[in-house]
Amino acid sequence: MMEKMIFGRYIPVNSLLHKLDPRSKLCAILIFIFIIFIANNAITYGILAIFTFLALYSSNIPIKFLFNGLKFIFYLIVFTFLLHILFTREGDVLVDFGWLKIYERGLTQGIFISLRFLFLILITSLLTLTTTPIEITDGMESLMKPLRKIHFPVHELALMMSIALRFIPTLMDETDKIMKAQMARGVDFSHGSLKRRAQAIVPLLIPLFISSFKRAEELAVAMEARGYRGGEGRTKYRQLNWRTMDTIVILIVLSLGGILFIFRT
Amino acid sequence: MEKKLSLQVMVEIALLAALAFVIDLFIPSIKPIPSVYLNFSMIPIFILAFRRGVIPSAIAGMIWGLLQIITGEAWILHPIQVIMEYIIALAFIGVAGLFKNRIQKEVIADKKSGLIITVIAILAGSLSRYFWHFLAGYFFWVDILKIPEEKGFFFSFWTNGLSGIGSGIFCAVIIGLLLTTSPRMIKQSL
Repeated sequence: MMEKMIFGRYIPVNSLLHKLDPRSKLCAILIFIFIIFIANNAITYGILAIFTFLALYSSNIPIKFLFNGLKFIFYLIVFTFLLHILFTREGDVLVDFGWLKIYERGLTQGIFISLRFLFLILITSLLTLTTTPIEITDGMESLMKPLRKIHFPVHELALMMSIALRFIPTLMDETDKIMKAQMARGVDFSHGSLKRRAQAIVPLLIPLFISSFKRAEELAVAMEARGYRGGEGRTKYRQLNWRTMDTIVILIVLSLGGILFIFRT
Repeated sequence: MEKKLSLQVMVEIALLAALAFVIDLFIPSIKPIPSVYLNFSMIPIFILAFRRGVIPSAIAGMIWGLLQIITGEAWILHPIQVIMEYIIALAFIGVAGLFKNRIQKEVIADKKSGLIITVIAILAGSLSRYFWHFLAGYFFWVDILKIPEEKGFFFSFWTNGLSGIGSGIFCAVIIGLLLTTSPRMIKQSL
């Protein structure tokens, strides 16, 4: 249970990606998610593979950390690959065992779709591995600032995100304590019939809800007592700093899109 | 929202979204048949829906989705899929809040009809959520899982439909027990 107490996947090491502004990482990943769909042949997927490798290399994240959280996803990628190989019946027959035929299109589609999935997962994982959740929230708040003009409550949303992130470890600790107390009495949360599991959860949830509502009331009173009046004129302890390297990263990702477009068939 | 939501409601939204996230991490989903998942993690959003109504619970759902995205718990295939499955779908759990006034009145008055409306509200919220998972399943997951297009619609419909109804019933049973034990939970002040 305790391994789940580390929430989020941030790995604090020194790297180029760690030093980037969260806004540039968010923008770069958003652009990447769109441009990955441009790739449609071996050359473009090769370019994407080189880009992904360079991105992973520049993050200094130990490989075991990167792949630890992705085991289940790798099974899904292998499953996807096998499904394409077994069920696509287009193009020339490459292998014929009588009961099993592998077609050219099945093999290429299987490889391309699995690679696309793999690159997407690896690159999006880099955001959470190199940026703390609170930095991502600050970055999102800053990027969404223009939405204030249409009265979108950007500051309030960021405030709620920050409070949620602040209290996740506290709630995890509390949940862990209550679960252990219940398990010591013989309650099993992960096995048994639906009825037994439903009955086991109720004594866990009631104290969690009651303490959450009490905590919400106390926190709101404390914030008001300290003069919280919403976003207007509020200063920030954590300042975001956009540097030349952030602009370069965005330009690199945009250029990647251009290169993929040129080599696309 | 700036004028309508008080600070206390905003803090409640944040804490219950965090609680949904924590329950999702700690208590594993039940998988009765392949591709169908029954989970409990919607319970805090439903409780908020019955306590504060549609908008606060929809925002809590959205924040829960954002928490999953920024902590690397989300499955990202496409930006539109992420928005559909982690923002819109989870915000739609808030539909249950449409029944807030009747539930508050009847559950606190200890009427049996209160529990029936609670079940209807939970099923409405759960099915609204899984409708978006069904769309995302049809437009994005079917392609990845190599399910033929004509079967993809039914695959997504059945797996998400069963997950929606199953999770809804499961949450309804637990919330029924919770509200019977502690009905003041949905009163606006404890």
